[in-house]
Amino acid sequence: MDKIGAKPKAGFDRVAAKPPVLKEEEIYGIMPEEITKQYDVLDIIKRLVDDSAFDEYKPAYGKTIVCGLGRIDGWSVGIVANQRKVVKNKKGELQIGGVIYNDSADKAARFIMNCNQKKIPLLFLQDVTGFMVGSKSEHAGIIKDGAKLVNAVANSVVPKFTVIIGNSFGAGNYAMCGKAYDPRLIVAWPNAKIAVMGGAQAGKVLLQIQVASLKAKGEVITAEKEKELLDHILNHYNETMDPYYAAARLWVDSIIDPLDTRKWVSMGIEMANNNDEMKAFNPGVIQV
Amino acid sequence: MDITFNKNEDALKLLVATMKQRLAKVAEGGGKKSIDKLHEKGKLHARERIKLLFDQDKPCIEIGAFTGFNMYQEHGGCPSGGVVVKIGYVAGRQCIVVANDATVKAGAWFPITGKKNLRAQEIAIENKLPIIYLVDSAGVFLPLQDEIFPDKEHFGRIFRNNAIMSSMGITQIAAIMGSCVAGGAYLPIMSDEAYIVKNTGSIFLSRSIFSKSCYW
Repeated sequence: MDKIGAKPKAGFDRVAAKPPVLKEEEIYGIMPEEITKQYDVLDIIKRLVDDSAFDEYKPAYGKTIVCGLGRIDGWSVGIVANQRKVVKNKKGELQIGGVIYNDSADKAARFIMNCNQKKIPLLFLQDVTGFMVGSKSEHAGIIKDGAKLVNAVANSVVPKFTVIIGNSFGAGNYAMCGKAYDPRLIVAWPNAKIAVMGGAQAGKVLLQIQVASLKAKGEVITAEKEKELLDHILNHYNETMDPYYAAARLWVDSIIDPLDTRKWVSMGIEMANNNDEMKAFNPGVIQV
Repeated sequence: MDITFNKNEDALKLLVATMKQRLAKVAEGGGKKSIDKLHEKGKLHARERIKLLFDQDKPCIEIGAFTGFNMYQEHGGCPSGGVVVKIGYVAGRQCIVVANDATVKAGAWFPITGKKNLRAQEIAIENKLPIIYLVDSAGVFLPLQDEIFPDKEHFGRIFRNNAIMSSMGITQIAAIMGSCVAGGAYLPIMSDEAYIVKNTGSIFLSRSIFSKSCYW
């Protein structure tokens, strides 16, 4: 192995590494025990990046996704992270944390294109419950704006890395570079949940389907029976949302201690740096 | 002190501790007894082999440690998918190692083993990363052959990738460390370089009881 000749590198930028100034161990206390609770993802990012230095992109716009540049173990990296605290837009309207809105999808798509232009690897920190629904966002073109983000992620030529730090639900999984979007490495923290939608939401729908099918067969469904059915559905659903269920099937490469995140990203970028062949960035038709 | 912070901290630390316990269990492969048997034969376990191969002073990460977790219970389980995959450094060079675990059904390939082998090769291809195979495999797990043999992303793809990677100039080195049968024989021979361990390594397409009636 030591006699193999050197090959050209991709040339991702790296300087001398510095540990984060803020304590990494505090991540344990910042991540809420209950997945429905809020937290500020900047508190997580600043405990993952060198020197806790993070240069945020458009901090006052599209606040439910935080984008910006930092370094991990010296490697330059563009971070795209879901913001889980409730935020307000310029008009003073509340936006729910972990949800992708029109403005945040637009911002993230633009940031990802900038990173491609500047040859900066991307790191996605997923804690996402999906895209905003409702007539207001539908009329504002949420599908079209989401499509722009999915397009930018899918067509990215710089290496992508994904860490599922909380929820990974619905099309949010896709837009935030889920397994289907070719992340070079994808890992989950042990508190992660991966599914098409949250358990409570899915439980109701699945219950309706089962009750309707049983009633069609002439069965009488009492309130007790309904509760029994729901419990059974939720047990099974929660089992399939578990990160071990995902890891068993290689939907993620590993379940990691949050304190190993920097190591995984650093070794990942070092590995990606071996491949000097990068296609020209061409996002195709952007859904404006 | 902030009570919520402490509560969160306890909860996540507990999840991490559970993860580490499960990892330790998975690392035993087919069980301590099976590892002892390997040792008696003068062989090492897949994880011990990788540990000796890697530079001790450098970090390493494991791909798919939880592969097959709680799956195939009716067949006695398949810890880590019966194959250990790690990224680390050999003589200072970053590389990916794929080591069959002979304590899990003699290193036989379950459907998820195929997926994991393909994932390791995908990582090597996407990143032009040298790949080292420590082969010790009985080939396809026959009871599940219909789920792993003929489709595009089944076992044939592994040998196709061997050829593609060779053409791409990606270093592929195989060490034959046990009896490598059928599919287990193709992989090392499709690699650019193959080494065989004296006395313990053997390679063949089919045992004589099969050879009268079938061809590989």
